[in-house]
Amino acid sequence: MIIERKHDALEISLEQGERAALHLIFEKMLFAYQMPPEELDPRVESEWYQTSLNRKSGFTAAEYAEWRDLLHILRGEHVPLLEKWLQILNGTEGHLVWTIPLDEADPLIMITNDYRLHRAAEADITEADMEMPVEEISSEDKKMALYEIDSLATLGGALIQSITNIPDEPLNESEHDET
Amino acid sequence: MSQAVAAPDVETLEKTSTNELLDKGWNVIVWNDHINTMIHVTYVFQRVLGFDAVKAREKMLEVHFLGKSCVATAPREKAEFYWQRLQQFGLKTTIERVV
Repeated sequence: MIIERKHDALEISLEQGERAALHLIFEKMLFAYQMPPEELDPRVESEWYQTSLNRKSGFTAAEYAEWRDLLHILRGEHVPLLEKWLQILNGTEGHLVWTIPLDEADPLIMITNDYRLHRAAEADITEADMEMPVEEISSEDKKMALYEIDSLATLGGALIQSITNIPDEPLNESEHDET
Repeated sequence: MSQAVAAPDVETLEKTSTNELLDKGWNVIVWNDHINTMIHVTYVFQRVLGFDAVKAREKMLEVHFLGKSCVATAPREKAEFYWQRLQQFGLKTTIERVV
């Protein structure tokens, strides 16, 4: 996958496998965004709607429900975009150069990040799992989830770098010293 | 047809003004998590909070190393707006009254 900024648009070059993977991701998010939050996998609901954090803030149950429903409505606003992108990805087979206007970059970043959070919650990915070499993970589902999460981190980083000057670099030496 | 409008209750106005004066604002706190990447958090801070590159990275590192960072202090309505936007990008965010 190659992402290039072209004036007020991003050109995303996708091979067949990458198209298929993105198609699956967008389909899954299209389905999830239209599902009432209380019908989601409770782990996903907790992750997307930050149940335990909001309780920590002292939200009442009614306040939590109100905020959760607002966030759900905002997610729902991505449904038309997802439908449009799925049609594009459904086009002719093989290599595709997908051009998206800059104002679709943020939704794409939000949606792919939502998928990462969704997948991590579904597969019960812990902090320890994130730091372990993949070959040491015994669960095949966790391995696949980690692969997807990592791949989308790369995509997200590439998108952000194509529209900003933020480097996708690990901690430098002095930042490491802060530990 | 017009109707007479009652004059605002003076005591109510005074109480409202006092409450506004006493409200020191609301902190917007971003919490560390093991899924959101550093570049994503940095970008969101620039995008939502208007931080420049240096401040965005500094605050991101605070979240990373200290577990959380207060990224804004604002009146409730604005704090709730930041809270909502940061959560739309998947960041773990809470708001709390300044004491």
